[in-house]
Amino acid sequence: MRSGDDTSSNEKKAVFVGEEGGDRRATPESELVAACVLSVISLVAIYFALELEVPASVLTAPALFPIITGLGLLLMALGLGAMAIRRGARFQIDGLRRWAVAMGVDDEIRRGGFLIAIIAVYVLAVDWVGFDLRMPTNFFVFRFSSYELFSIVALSGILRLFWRAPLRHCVLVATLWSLALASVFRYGFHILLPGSG
Amino acid sequence: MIIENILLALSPYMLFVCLIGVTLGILWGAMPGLSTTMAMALLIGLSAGMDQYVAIMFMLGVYTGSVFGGAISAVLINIPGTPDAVPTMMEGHPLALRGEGGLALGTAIAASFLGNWIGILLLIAFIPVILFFALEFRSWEMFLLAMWGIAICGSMSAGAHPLKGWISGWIGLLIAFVGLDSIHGVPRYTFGSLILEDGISYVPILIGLFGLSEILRVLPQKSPYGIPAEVGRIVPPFNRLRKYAGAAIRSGLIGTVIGAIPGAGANVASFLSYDIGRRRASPEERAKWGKGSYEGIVCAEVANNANVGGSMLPTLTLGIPGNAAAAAILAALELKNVVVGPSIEIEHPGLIYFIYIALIVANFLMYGMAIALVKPCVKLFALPRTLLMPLIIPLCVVGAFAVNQNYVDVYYMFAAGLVGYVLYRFGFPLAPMVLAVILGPLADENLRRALLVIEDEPYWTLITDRPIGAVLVAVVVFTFYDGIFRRRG
Repeated sequence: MRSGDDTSSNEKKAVFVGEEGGDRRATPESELVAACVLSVISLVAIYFALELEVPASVLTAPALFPIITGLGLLLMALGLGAMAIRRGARFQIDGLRRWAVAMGVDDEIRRGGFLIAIIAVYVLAVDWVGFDLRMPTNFFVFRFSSYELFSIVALSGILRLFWRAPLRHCVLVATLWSLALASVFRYGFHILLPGSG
Repeated sequence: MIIENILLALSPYMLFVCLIGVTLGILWGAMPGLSTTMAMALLIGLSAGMDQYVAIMFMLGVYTGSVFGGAISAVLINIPGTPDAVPTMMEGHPLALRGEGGLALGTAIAASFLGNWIGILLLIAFIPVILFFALEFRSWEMFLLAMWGIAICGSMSAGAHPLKGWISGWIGLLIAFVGLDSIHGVPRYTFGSLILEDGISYVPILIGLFGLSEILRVLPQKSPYGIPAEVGRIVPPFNRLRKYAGAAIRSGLIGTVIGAIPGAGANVASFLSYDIGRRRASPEERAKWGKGSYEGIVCAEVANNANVGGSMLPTLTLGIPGNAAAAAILAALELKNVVVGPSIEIEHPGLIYFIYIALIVANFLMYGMAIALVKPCVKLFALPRTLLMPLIIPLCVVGAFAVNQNYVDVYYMFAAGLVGYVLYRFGFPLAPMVLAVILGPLADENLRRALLVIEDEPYWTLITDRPIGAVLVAVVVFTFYDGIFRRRG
């Protein structure tokens, strides 16, 4: 388990939680919820695997390994559920409701939700509003696509919200970074950028 | 001919080309989610206009540089540049938070340098022996090796709850099944969608799980963590290196042998070596694993770099690439009408020696360039997380898109980021899922092939007639047993 304890030498109040760190947040209730969701996922996986055709021998059937994996996942989910119940989790609506409310009012989760929404809009906008402007200069053709435009807009917004610098600084950083990144990939590595039509 | 080729490899122009390749490779590998394979695949285009030897020098420089480059972002921002840098991330990032980022990277550089040397020396000295051993790995052994990799990764990354690590791996396997099955071409879990029939590439999954989910969990924190900007000492003290010499040699052997097995890449090598290293570490040293262990970094980095030399073994001698990056080398060679294989010494006399020297030169240049890049990288990644993390978002989008030039990969990346964030909130590790997405198709195909081969024989011949397979069955069972036993203990 890694946490801020590891960062005592760091002057900031650092909160680093590594690969194992989520354990600390996993309450028995959340493990019980996870076990239920995973059981459903494994049953769905097994159901759709059983629907697959068997072109030749059962030993080479496309469903063979998915069914084995689904059964394995189901067993593990049941194990996780049993572990959660041993740790005190109960199938009580009140308890689960309390857990859901606690997750909902968590400020960090709400800020995370907001960030997810901004990124979702950014990802959709680059795809849906695809354009590619080409402006010939004396030396090369300068291109500006929806990737650069929406990167600048989304980055400016995210920086303003989380970095909290003045808006002009955020816009400047977002613009310089987006254009630099696009130039390196487009002119340096000759990679087609998303949203280039 | 041999001397001529060696002198050619050491000419100033070749050294310059190699330096460019190494630098591009390190920078590419350091970018979150941009893998070695992608670097190789994209830079083949740059090598196309070069002379045969120049192209080989350039590509080997890129290969060597990008394998190490993954460690930079892994240590400094907790996002592995390449999948094989995940164990380095697990050990290196806690050290960076304690202000030992420079030394952690210095250790990774020294370990990479040593790993490359072990791989190269074994490539030169033991081509026939290692090749014989590697060729004993048939479908059944490949399946077991893949499952062992996932099982080990699950138990290693989940700390006291290996069950959660295995669950994460098993979810990854289900993701890997999406698409047309490789043997009969039957669509699995595609729900009638043509887009899903292409399957889900591991690159957007890697970027989403480690890049986007890291952003989603760090940015919303009121006081996000940061790493100290002071670099401190970079080159590790000689005593420390001597202390880990045994672990390094063992990891080098593991990395080379795994690299020589066609299909088993640096990911398996670094996780296996990391796991074996933890089991064999002294109790005092073992206590540091997971909280910032230099020995852990040595094990992972030596293994994934030794894998470079190992992967060249079947590539050069059989024309079978050891991994995807070696396949890119093969493609670059084919562009120059160089067909590698058993007759390489007859058709292209001296070329193999040129490749040896090129690997050695690339290794030295990687060491120098990596040391030179540590300070600027630490300074750069010590920027406030609230500034640094948003800048990675457009990079994640380009990285996911660049693999297949298909925007659907960006949606996969976004979905993987959300899944990673949710799994993190529920306390599940992410590394096993990525490894399972990579190894899932390998395991699936090889299991069915193995069962088909022994269709008319009793199943126990898989154990009785295959000594390597029997050993692998034992270690897979032991890994699960040890995980459950450790949790109860």
